Amino acid sequence: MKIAVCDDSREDRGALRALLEACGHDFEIREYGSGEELYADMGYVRECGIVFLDINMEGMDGLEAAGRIKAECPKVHIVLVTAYVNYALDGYKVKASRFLLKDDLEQTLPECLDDILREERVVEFGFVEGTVRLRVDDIIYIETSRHKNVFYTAGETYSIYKKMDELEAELAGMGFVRIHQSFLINMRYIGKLSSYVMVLTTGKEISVPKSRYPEVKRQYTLFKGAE
Amino acid sequence: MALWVLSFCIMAIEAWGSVYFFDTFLKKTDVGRLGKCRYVVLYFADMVVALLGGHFDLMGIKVMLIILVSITFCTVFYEAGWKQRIFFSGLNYALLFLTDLFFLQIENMSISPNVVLTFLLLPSKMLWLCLVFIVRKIWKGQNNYGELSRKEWLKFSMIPLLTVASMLLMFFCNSAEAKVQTAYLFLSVGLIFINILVIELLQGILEKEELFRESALAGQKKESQLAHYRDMQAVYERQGRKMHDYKNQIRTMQVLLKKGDTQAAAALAERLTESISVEMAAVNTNHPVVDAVLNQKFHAAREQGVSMTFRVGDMGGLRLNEEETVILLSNLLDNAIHECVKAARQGRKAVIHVKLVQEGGKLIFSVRNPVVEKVQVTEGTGLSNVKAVADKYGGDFAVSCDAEKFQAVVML
Repeated sequence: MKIAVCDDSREDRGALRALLEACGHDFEIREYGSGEELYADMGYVRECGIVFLDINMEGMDGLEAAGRIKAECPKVHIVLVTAYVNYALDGYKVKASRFLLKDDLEQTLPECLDDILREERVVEFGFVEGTVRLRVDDIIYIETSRHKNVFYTAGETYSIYKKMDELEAELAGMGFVRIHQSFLINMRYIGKLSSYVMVLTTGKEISVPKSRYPEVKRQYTLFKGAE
Repeated sequence: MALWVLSFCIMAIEAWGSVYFFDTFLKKTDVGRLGKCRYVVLYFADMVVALLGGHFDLMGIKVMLIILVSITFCTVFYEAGWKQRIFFSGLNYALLFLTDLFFLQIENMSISPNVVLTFLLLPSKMLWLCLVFIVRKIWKGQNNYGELSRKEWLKFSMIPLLTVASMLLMFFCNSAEAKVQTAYLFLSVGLIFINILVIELLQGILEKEELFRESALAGQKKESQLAHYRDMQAVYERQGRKMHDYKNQIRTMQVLLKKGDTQAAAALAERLTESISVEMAAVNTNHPVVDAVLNQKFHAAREQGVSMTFRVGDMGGLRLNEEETVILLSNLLDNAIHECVKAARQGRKAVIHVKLVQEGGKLIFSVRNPVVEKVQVTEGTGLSNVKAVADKYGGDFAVSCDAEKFQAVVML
């Protein structure tokens, strides 16, 4: 994964780079000394998975840089690094994924990375259409149809001869919930859940059996808290 | 023909009265159009049971079938746990059977054995309806059934179920002797009163549990406020000491500037600025109460070596009142800090992840923290107060815990 670190303090940039390299993931890291320098290299930023931004920089500060980057690359994760958490509200306005304090990074950075990387997971299945690697986030739901299970994504559908129980086990802990014998739903795509009916963000409505409803609701609540 | 019409009327009265009884105690489930046909559904279910009962011609089986139908009816049309379904179905049937038995005894005692007073069935149903109205009057709408334990529900359920068993015994051991019939008559009346007393007792216990919870809530609120004021006092004292230091630092800067050492003065000014900012309130959510609580907990956590990460949004439009806000935030964060301190002592990372945002029209408050061992998630005063706030706004409260981490989420 490509990462950008932007901080006007060389010392702080170095410290963050050291912590990232110590996390054990395969990162390509580039450093920038100002918001302008970062914004000038949008070609790299577009390929980045995460951008670490110090808020207090001269010229274009981290918030302004975050706003511009998010406008052009909505999918990139912005992590604001600051000595003062009282920018939390403003940071949320630019849809920052996290706020981390500089003097706490050793404690907080590994879990922050784990949370973000969890969203970028890729799974590989041997479908009828061939072996396909899919981002977990791209799978909307899986439905049993006749003797196959069908994966529904935004663009394509893929069929697989595998039991739903097996698929549920393989996708455990990735934000899926079994609402029905025939349905495994990616909770990121749940728009509404009430009165035993689930409405996905695609508009699809699925009935939730009464017996499963309390547990589905519980898992969805926990998912929204962890998201 | 008259008998058929009478049976139709009696079953209709029983269906209506039973629904009225269950509506008194249980919260209705939204089942769409089916909800409007509850009376019809119960009527036809009772009719099927009556026909089956007639076919088997065994009183015990009839009784079991009727109670089973009631339990199934409650399962479909009401939001109630299985303990409440069994208890209220048993109680409803106990009252129904007792009034029938009461009039049966009157019939046996007062009239010649060759004359069957079938029309006495109607007054018995009227008496039963009166009892249901009295019960409705007594019951003040308590529905905090979760406050009672499974054991307590079992004990309460014994009374209507033993009543039904006693009535079956009286029915099978009926005697022509006047003494026995008089005894059975008084026994029926006594059992009616006992079953109504059970409702009174249940209500009293639930009221007391509610009072106890409110008292614990008030106590907790007072403690939270005291802790908040103590914390504010600590902040003021700390700021007072810092002010004294800053005055000295500013004097030093003046001396440096007079000497012409602008670089040293600038470096000192930068360090001073950073120090002042860190001492000020850390979290800003555009809501004074949320800010006060989060800042209080943030500083308390840091003093104990516990870190926090934040994902917070604009809480300016928060619809909770001050007390509810404090309860929600304080309880979950206090638990998290407590567990993190234990983790820190074992040399583990102690980081609390706090999420407080408005997403898709819903308020989401989540606290995630490490634990040293799996915590038994029982709803002590703290968590039950949080649940009460969630329930008040029709929201959801979910908790999960494994050997490594604990998560609590409130979604309103």
